[in-house]
Amino acid sequence: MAETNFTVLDWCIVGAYLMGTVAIGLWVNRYIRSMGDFLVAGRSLRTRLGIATMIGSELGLVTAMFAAQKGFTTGFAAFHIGLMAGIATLVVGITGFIVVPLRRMGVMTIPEFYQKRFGSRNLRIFGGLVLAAAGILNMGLFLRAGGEFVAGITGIEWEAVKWVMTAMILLVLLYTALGGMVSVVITDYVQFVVLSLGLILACVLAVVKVGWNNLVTGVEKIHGDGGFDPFAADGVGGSYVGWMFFMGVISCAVWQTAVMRACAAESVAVVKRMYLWSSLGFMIRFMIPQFIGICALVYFFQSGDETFFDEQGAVLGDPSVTMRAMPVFLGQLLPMGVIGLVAAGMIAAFMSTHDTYLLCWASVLTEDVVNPSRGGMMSQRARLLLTRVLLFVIAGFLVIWGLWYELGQDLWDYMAVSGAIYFTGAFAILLLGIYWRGATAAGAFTALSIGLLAVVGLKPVQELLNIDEFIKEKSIGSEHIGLSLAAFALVAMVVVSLLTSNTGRNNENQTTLQ
Amino acid sequence: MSGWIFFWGALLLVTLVSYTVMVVYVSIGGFKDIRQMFRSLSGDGDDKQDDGGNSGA
Repeated sequence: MAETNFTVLDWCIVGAYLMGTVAIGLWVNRYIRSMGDFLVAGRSLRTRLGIATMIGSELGLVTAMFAAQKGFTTGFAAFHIGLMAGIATLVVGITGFIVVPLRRMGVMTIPEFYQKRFGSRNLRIFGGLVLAAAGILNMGLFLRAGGEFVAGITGIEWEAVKWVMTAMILLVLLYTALGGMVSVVITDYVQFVVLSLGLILACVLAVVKVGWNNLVTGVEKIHGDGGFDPFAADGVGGSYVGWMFFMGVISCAVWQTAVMRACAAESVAVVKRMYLWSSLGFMIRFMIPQFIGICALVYFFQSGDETFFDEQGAVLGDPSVTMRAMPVFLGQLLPMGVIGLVAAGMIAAFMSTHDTYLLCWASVLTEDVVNPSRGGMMSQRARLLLTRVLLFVIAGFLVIWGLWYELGQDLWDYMAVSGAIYFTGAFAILLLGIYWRGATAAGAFTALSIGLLAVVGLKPVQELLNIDEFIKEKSIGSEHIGLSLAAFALVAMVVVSLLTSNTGRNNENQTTLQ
Repeated sequence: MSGWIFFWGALLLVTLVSYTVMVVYVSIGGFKDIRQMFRSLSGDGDDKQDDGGNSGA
């Protein structure tokens, strides 16, 4: 069991906070009268609440865990991830790239866009299946990451952690199933406030504890120049930085959970303002946890803790070990009371990410797979019921998957690769579908199918296919696989669209977006 | 390397300060927006036939 300052008082703070959040989530159930209220909060989000909920859902416990892990394993060079994400979101906010046309169309999900743009219901169903499968796989390790955090900061045993995490999932299900997007928005707002203040406080305390100069010399000793220069760092380099910029665009403009926020906004002007302001949040959501991870690196290195380092003083290569560094560090750094507030904020972040993602993937399966398969004949009541049932089914899968999957790579890389199964194809379809009139449904099917190949980026799949040694030998990283597939999907969609543009006038139902 | 240290340090400081200001602004403004959202959801002139813009057909 890790040493920690977590006390009964801190447990009380966490418990009170959780109960309060759930109570609010349940209370708003009275405002749910239609599917529109349930899924996009009646499209009534204004700018400041939109910013809070957008950052709140993206600044989750899982983000904090994988970002801190990156800071721990690569030092200051990891900051390039936040920088790229911030620049990408700013560009989207200024230009309205992808999100403004989507909001103008009034769509609620990306697969719905596929149908409206290409007039193909089958494309929507296929796109919905790919999106939901990749999305659920992507959040498959959220529970594991959350569990590692709870274990690290509270010092309780892993067996007990499993029950704590399962209880939390049940609470999330309870209020999300009842209150839908309205519950999600309110809990996101509360989480944004509490977690932001908690992280800023933790950041200040960490730098006071370790000292800036000490941090710089410590990182230099452990990682050398690569601890600062992302182009020289081990496992980073130019293509990885480019991959991170691409990931930044994807996170804010193509990833369904962010697009849902844009679609729930009151107007196009609000969408642009949300993105402009959120660019800071998208940057800070990486940088603060990364910085705490860097502080943990130097703190444990200088204290002679052998948990995270080998005999030569190098950081251990086991991702499941390095993931624990940040929570264990916080458990030893923060004083009683403050640690409870930070833990409450983090756990609330865990819950708000889950509510957003669960609602998102359940609604995609209902609206883009099941309902279209039945000719769009399902009543609002049936769709609401199905969405609620799917929330429970997905949560059940997550509990099982989160317990047995062996993490063979950094959590961030796992998430990037699993997400790539969907977004490499979706990016091509959105880009060409919105900005090129010549795009066709056949081209879109091709792009989606190519995106499925991204599954090869997952370590267990590489082992299954016996290509893990080859990939290691050639130094092929997730960034090479992701960027190559994204480019391949774009080219293939253009080629197939050109080849099929005159066959059967298959674009006659297209909606003009420009 | 010193260039990178200065750059990352300055970036961290600027973003931390800006984010702190934004958190205060959004926390206060967001609370007002929540009240407005509840008023809107309560139904004054709202179209409760909205199914989220999703026909599925």
